[in-house]
Amino acid sequence: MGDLWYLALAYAVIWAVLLVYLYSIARRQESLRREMKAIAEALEGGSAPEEEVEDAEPFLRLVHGKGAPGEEPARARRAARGRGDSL
Amino acid sequence: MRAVAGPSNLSLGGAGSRLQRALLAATLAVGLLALYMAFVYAPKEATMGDVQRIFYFHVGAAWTALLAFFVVFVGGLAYLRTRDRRWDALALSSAEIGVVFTTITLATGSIWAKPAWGAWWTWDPRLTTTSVLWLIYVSYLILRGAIDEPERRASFAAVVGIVGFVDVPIVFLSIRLWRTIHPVLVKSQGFDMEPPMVHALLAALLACTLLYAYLLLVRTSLERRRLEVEAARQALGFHQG
Amino acid sequence: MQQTLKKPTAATSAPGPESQTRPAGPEGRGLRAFLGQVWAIAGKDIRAELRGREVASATWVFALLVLVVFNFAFDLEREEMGPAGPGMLWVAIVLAGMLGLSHVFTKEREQSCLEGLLLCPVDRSVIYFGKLAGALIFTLALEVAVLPVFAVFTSLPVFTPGPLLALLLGTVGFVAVGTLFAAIAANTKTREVLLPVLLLPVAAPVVVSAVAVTGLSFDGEPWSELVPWLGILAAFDAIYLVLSPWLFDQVVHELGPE
Repeated sequence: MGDLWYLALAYAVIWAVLLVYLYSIARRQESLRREMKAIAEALEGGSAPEEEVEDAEPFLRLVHGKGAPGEEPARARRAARGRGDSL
Repeated sequence: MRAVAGPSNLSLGGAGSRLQRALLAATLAVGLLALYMAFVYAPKEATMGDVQRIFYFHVGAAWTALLAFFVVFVGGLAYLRTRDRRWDALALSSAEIGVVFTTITLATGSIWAKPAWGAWWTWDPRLTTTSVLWLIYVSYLILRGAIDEPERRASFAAVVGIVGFVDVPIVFLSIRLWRTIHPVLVKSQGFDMEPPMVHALLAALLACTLLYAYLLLVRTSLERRRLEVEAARQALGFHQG
Repeated sequence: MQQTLKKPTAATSAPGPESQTRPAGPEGRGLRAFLGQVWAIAGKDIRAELRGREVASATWVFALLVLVVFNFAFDLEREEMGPAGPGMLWVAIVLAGMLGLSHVFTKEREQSCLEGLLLCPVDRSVIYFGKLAGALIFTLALEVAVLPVFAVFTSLPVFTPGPLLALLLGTVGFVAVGTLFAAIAANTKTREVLLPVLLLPVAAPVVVSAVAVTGLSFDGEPWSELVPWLGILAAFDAIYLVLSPWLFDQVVHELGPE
């Protein structure tokens, strides 16, 4: 039946839209990971180990530890408040 | 090493990914079950044949889109109340995913329309309402793109998200009523649902909702992580890379 | 240092930030004060428009152009005027109305005026209702100016209760949300483009209902047919007249110059 073609098309479209969105998320995750690595490296003055950009806690510890002198503690607190993997 | 995108990549590591992994597993499991039920378990429909099987995930996507927009509404209200940008992160994520599901609803609705009614598009109440919804939430995303200051963007987006969701019932009613004075040229075919069809529909609904929850979790953690990085950058005095 | 809101006098050459002189306008609490403040803000806008009349005449001409272009685009014969008429009218009004709305918050002087208003000890929603009143009067005036031309073009009975009521209710709802969105759009990167993008989808029920009432009325349908549509319009108006000022209040501190 020619109608089955429409069925296939519909499900193909569903998968396509979902995959496109998942891909766009993955891309944004990668770019964010790169950014985190760049910041960590700038703070370490060299290469940063993979673990520091994988998790939130090591990254933030690094950031707050190397905070610029005279830095407002409020900013660091805000950054800490904004984190958290659990909703 | 980590170049290939896979479920572990999408979870960005950390303790929260346990919930993400669990959700992903549940989504895949229920999804497979729903697919089986839609294609095998549910009987072939009398008038339309196998094409009718589009219906299950079409309705699933539509329901999920509505749920997503409700979350945008709640997130907006919560942000206006607390000014905590984590709520805005939730709202933004839900809006994006809502647009994704609305797009799926429109596309599957259109693809169903062709064999069922002979045209790729009809201005029947459901498709029309879905189009307006799509436009409302796309405009939400466009608004966000037009503002650079984070607090202003979050506040304005919250307003539009609230106005948009409150509008949903009005849009639905007005277009329903509109159809009574401009009936569709081709009469829309309904069908009676036998119990196995109802089961398949429920499974599809559940699968879509789980998928939504998973995507929401992933997207929101990504957004919140982005907020952290932004704050870290500010705290350290880095300039925009 | 608080500035008190005062009614702009005729001596004011151009609307500018409220100056700190002896207050001549309504102060204090109560409905009368509230209405007085609302009217002060609306009056300022209306007076400014009456003086220059640039926006008013431009939007009126634009509305006429839409009617004319419709005729080119669809080559409407006399018989087709019936079905196409209501839509034509409302597209013209909606497009021209949005042009007018986009000016409510974007005039240069507006930004410093808004700052001045925000310093006043008035309820924030006063600003919203003042702007709403001004925009409403402006849009209704536009419609009054467009209707005769439409009647001449189409020979359709616009000056009957049905269409007029639809115009009134529809305009109120459209402008209620429009004022809120205009305030938002004025503070973004894309300004004028954003207002239609935000407003049209949300106001879709208003357009649908208003066109329906107008069309049914032209066809001579009885009131009972019109009532459901008028109900939708009234509900839209009621909901957004309450919601919009509250939302305006939530974001008012984000408004004004960057």
